Order: sequence, then C-alpha cells, then structure tokens
Amino acid sequence: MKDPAHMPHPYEDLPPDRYWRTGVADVDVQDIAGLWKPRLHINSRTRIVTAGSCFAQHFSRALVARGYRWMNLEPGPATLTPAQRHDYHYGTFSFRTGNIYTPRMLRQWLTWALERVAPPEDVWETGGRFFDPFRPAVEPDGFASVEELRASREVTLEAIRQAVATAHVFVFTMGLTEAWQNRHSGTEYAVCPGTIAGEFDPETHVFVNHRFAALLDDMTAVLRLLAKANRRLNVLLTVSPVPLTATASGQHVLAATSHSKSLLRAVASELMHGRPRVDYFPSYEIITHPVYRGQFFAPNLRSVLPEGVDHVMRCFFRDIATQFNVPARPDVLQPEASPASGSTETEAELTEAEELRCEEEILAAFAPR
Amino acid sequence: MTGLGHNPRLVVFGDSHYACLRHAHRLGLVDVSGTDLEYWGHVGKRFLFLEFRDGAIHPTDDFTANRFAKFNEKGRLFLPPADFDMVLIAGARTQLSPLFRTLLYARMHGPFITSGLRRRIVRDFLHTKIGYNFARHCAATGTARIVLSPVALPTEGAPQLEPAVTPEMRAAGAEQRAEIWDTIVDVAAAEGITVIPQPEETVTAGMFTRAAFAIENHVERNDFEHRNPAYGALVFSRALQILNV
Repeated sequence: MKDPAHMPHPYEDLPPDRYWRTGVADVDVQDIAGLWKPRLHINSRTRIVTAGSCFAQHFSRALVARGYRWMNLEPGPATLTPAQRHDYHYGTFSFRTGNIYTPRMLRQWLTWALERVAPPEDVWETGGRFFDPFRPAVEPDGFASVEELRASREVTLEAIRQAVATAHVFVFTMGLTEAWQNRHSGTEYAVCPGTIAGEFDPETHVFVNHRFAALLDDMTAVLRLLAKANRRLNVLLTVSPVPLTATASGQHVLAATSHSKSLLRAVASELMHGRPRVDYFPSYEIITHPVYRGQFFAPNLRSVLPEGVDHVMRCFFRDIATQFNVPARPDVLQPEASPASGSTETEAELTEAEELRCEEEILAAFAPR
Repeated sequence: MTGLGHNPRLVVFGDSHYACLRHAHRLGLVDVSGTDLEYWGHVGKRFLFLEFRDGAIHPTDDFTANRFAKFNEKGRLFLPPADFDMVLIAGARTQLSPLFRTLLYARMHGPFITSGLRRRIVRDFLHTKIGYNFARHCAATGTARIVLSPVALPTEGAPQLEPAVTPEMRAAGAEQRAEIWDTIVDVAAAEGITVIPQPEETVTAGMFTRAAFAIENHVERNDFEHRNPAYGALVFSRALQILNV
C-alpha cells in the first residue's frame, strides 16, 4: 500500500548511475560505466577521422587496434617504417596537420581546405630551413624551400577535403584556449613563434587566451563548415585531459589549466544542445576526475599513462556496446602498432642459384689466365 | 707516383659485383698502372660473416677469412682501411633497386615526398645495408678515402622487378634519377663516404641497367644482376679520377 504522505519527485526511480552513491561511491572506479551516452552508433563500418591535440592520436590507434574504420587520408608512402611515420607525423591524425590545439586553428584549417581560401604567407625560417607556422613539427628538419612547404601543405589541405567529404564521424579533441596570433592579420599559429622554429617578434606576435564566446563562435563556424561540406557528418568532441605545459596568461599553470579545460568543456556541452549530430565523449573526466585519484597520470601529473588511455578507450567501446546493445569489441584485436606501419628493409638471403652465379662471377674474374 | 710519396694504395672490396672491375682491369680497359692495387672480396653471402672491429673489417670465422684471403694479392685475412689511400667498395650487397622503386614510384605517382623525408628514407635504407655500414665504419676511422659504388640497378627485363615498374616509372628520366642519386650522394657524404652513382649512360627504362652492360648471355643464365667489363671500366675510371691518378 502506498504511503499517502509520499510525494513523487523526479529523483526517485532513477537508474543507479544518476546517484553518486550507486554511480560512483559504491563502484570500483574501473567499473564506473555509462559516463557517455553515445548519440551516434559507431560500428566497424563507420568512417572515422580524427584531429586535434595530442591526446587525439590515441583514438586512432585504439580504433585501428579494434578493427574500426579509422580513415588515414594522408598515409604517406606505403614503405615508410614506423619510426619514419612517427617522426614525420604520418598516421598521427587523419591528415598531416600535426596537433590542432584550439577551435580557431581548426576553423582556419577547414576554411583553407573547404572554402579554398589561400593560407597566409607566413613562413618561419630557421637555419636556412623553412617551417610551416601552422604545423611546424610535421617536418622535423623543416622544408628545403617555401615552395616545398606550400606543396606539402596543399597535400594536407586536399586530405582534409577528402576526410570531411567521406567521413561519417569527425572526432575533434580540443586542447587549449591559449594561443599566439599574428597581431596584424589575426592568423593563429600552432605554437608560439620561436619555440619550435621561427623568431618571436613582440611587434608581430600577440598572445591570446580565447574566451567562451570566441571559442563557441569558432566551433560554431567549424560545425557550419563541416555541415556545408558533408551534411551527414557527425562530430564527436572531446577535451584533452593533458594539462598545459606552460601558460602565458600570467596565472599559475594549474589555475590556467583549469580555466582552459573548463571553457572547452563548457563549449562542448553548449554545442550539443539542439545539434543531434554533435556529441561529447568525456575522456577528460575519465582521466582527470578526483574519483580516479590521478592514477592515470605519470609522476609528472601531466603525461597520461598508457593504462589511462586504455581505460578511456575501454569506456568508449563499452558505452557504445551498452547504448546500442551490441557485443563489446575485444580490447585489442591487433597489435598496438602505428595505424599505418611500414616495413623495415632487411638483408635478403641469396638463393642457391644466386649464390652459384656469384661464385661463378668471382671465379671467372680471378681465374688464372 | 703522386704527392703521397708512393703510388696510391687502392683496394677494391666487394662481393661478386666487384668481378666486373677485375675483368675491366685484366682486359686493360682501365689503366691502373699508377696504383698499388689489391682486391679483397667474396660472394655476398660471406658478408654475413664479416664484422668491423679494431679499425678493420674482420671475418668472424676461419673459413670466411680464408675465402677472402684466397682472392687477395697479399693473402690478407682482414682489411684495415688504414693500409690504403682509398677503399673502393664495389657492390657489397648495396642493392638500391628497392629504394629506387619506392622513390621513383612516389615521384611519378605520389604521394608527395619532401626532400627531408626522402633524405630520411635514403639514410635509413642505407643503414640496413651491410656494405654501406662497412663503408661508414671505415670512414669513421679517418684513414683511407672511402668510395662506394653500389650494385647497379637490375638489367632490363629482370623478371622480378619488371612487374613492379609502372609505365610512368619506366618513363622517368635523368632528372628524376638524379634527384634520388643526389640524395644518396649527400647522405653518404655526410658520413664521410663518396658514392659513385650508376653512370647515367648505363641506365634505361627508368630504373634498369641497359642490357649492353649485362654479363654475357645474361638471359640464358638468368642473371640480371651482374655487370660486364664495360660497366666495370666506367666505375673503375671514376674511382681512379677520385683517387687522382
């Protein structure tokens, strides 16, 4: 018999994961599930592209390792070795932009690629080599010439066009709100000039710490550009859990990290509202939340340990399986290799026939006359 | 005699690919009279039983040592570069056709390869080659001049390579090949090695050696690898130019 004094309210009869005690406190942290309620059913046929800050590269590896269809639109020569791929940033993301830390940077890349707007003329020269200010790390020793730099960048822009046109899901990991821009043109650089390459000039280069409205505006523009190029494209946003290496904001780096990540996290939620094709996966929360007690961080409390990446990706695949009632994919179907691993040239053994021919050649050359 | 105060001391070190140099010498196609010349080599498989230590190339077993000594004028059991003014490394398992296949394919079909990546590909490839690594070790001694003549590209019609070479690659000309050779020469020079590129007049169909420089009856003998004395003379002459005799 129902208690006549009982008044129904929205917090009764909720699933266990809606209460802190049953969703968190009473659960082994490794078993906390349902952090993500995926809107998109990602399966092995879903064409996925990835871009963003360094944490995004873990997505591609995990997807490939589990037999998902991660798209590499700029794979480079098939014969590259894993070390060469790594050093030249092939296969790190779906195209060779290097890390894209801010929404503004992504907006710039998409504008250049999809709207076919010519990128600014900026080039950084160091020691007679030329570095692309928008992806200075992709060519470890820089380019031989400005022409080579531009030719290489054009390949990347074409890869972006192909990626957006053919993908089902565009995964973007937002990393930072802080950036450096050209004071006159407003163009945003991938890193502060003078750090990896180039020369810092206070007359030309200016620090910017994007505020919420600007971040939202840039990401809204990004979504518009993507939708214009591919109306069926879904966007999965994440926020990198990796703290800032350094801040130019004048704040303590810890406070600056909180500021930066909080804004990006809020932007992600804001973008989801009213946009069914936009989703947010909480890798940031999984790594950084106090319930995990920092266990996924290396001793420097910045680098994410492989166990952390594994756990994030386990959550990713488990939540898809739960939401869409499909079997979870095994953790690792293939070795955790670079998404597009190459081969290493080795000394081939001579066949018997070849060896015989070699012997004949030498004997003929040195036989007494 | 040169400014050295003695005839330049030259050793030709190689696998069966050095035979064409020896033939050229014996046939009088090159004038080696101003040099103290030795040969030190054996079939490529025996290179797997060589190592570099104590400033010299040493066989790792007596059998190999005797095989190399057998074809050396002084019965040398090991090869110290310091005993020579120049070590000409001929062949020595440095087959470059896989490298040409990769780079020429990319050049003609894409993907775009920057000069920096091309250099890295070349360097990493060369470092997998036994003969090249002996050249590096010898060069690091700072004694003899180290000159490397890699194995010539396979002879036209080579059944193993032909299917891998597209019509566009076959159409590649001297300019495209020079781009690759220049990188090889630069990479090697940075490690103290002088590379003699395959003479352009011996190349055809993009990345093959003209049949005119193959050994006699190469088709019947199914030998698309070894070269004739004419080829040996071209390489030998360039080495002697470098030696300045």
